[in-house]
Amino acid sequence: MDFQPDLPIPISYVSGRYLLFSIDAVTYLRREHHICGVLIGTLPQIPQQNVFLGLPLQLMPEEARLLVDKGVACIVDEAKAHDGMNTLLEEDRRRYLRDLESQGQHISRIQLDRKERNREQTLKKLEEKKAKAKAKASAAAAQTPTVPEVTSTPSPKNAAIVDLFNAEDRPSSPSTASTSTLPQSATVITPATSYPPLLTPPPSSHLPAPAVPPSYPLFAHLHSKGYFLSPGLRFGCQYTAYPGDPLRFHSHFLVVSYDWDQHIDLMDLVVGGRLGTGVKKGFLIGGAQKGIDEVDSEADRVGTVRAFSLEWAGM
Amino acid sequence: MMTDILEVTKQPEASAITERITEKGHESPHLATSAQVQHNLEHQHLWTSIIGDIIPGRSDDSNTLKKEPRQSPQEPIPLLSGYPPHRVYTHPDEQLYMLENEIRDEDLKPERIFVVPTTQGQPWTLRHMGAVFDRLPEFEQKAKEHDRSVGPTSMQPEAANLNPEKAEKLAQYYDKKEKTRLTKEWGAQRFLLAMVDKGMGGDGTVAYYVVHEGEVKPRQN
Repeated sequence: MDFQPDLPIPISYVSGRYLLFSIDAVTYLRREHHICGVLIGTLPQIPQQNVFLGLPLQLMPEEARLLVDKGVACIVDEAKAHDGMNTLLEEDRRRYLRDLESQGQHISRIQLDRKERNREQTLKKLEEKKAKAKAKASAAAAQTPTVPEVTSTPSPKNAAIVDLFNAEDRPSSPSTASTSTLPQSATVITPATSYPPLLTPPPSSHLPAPAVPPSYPLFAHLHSKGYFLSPGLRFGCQYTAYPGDPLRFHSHFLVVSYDWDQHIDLMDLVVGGRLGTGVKKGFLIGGAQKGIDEVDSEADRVGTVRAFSLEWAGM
Repeated sequence: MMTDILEVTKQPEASAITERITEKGHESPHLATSAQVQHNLEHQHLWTSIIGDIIPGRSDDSNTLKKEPRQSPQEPIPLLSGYPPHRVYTHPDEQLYMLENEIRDEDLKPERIFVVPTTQGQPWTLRHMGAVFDRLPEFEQKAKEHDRSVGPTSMQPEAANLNPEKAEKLAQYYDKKEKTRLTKEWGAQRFLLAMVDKGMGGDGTVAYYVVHEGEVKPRQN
């Protein structure tokens, strides 16, 4: 559970997106660094099924930047990193494929074992039932000697039913011991990451920290206060801020960032305040007091952020 | 017949609010807004002891490139304050505490609430918000002195007919409240942002929003 990946975690930069392909990295970042990102992977066969999405995880540039600034992650140009695939030795390649195959076999073996266990359990249950039925029958037979012929017939019938239910397992059952040792069709594995054959890219090849929108200081400020932030498009704002993991908490704020001297249309405050109240959230605006041209780096602006929360007064 | 037409085309009488604004001699636009909001607070929301003030704008109009973050904005910001008949805002944690200790809103001393009147289209930035919060303690002090000079007794709830148990609880509550002012457990400073729509004459509606300094969790989450 407490898996600790090697730091920095490489974030794949693919055509303008920041992606994570390793489930271990995704869970680690969520658990330790409050970075949730958005799962964007669909099944190739059913791309319209978008309720439950899987890997890869897409990060906002702000999230990627935060992790890079913290030294937890680095940005890797995915296309360039995979150039290394061509230079793999033939022998390495074969070893890797063999490795995948043996992993696949391991998985099929586990699955087969489980199936076998299930089958045995059901058989045992049926056996018990049969024994009970027989005991009843014999008890009945002891009472009325003429009945046995009638009651004894169901038991072979029961056996037939058992046969019917386990029809697919039956043929293999006599030779289970031998089949598990025989080479069987291995489950085909498609690895989500390519680190085992490829080396982790050297620090010199890392891309610079991601460019971030002007709202980054407010993002980093709220993140440092323990809020989980996710994209706010769904709620008509820049970010939604959750006081804990979004799986456990409702969000507290709809967040919109402004520059310190940027004109705010008061109607936008009414709109945001009203919307926030409508969905039981506060409307939070804020921004860094210093402009990017007044400081050395984005990180210096984070400390100067001031935020204000708005709620409808109900009058 | 002729006189009738003349009478119809005569300019209609000014509305009460317009009369009030002209009467009070508020020339500058932000003071006119302030007068309108004050009128609304007094007559629609039945606030009492309303006092008005102004956060002065920056005196030098030098549009220097290097602006200090804490420098106040160029425009003066009007500020109103008064006592609402009912509590306007209760922090969710404070509410929980009150429920646990069976304290009701009516048991509490009325609180002076600050209001910043604004109108659609006026310049407004985070700097304005920051300036209001930076100056708020100073105006709170001023208002307190004003209340003391006017007569402190009128604002106190009738302490006489409280039973001792309740009085004890209330005292504890005020202690706690004083502590939370420092820890900001029950929210930091706040004011009401009053917004008036004056476009096309406006319809006289004033929208009020509670603005908190910092991240204060919403009331009904």
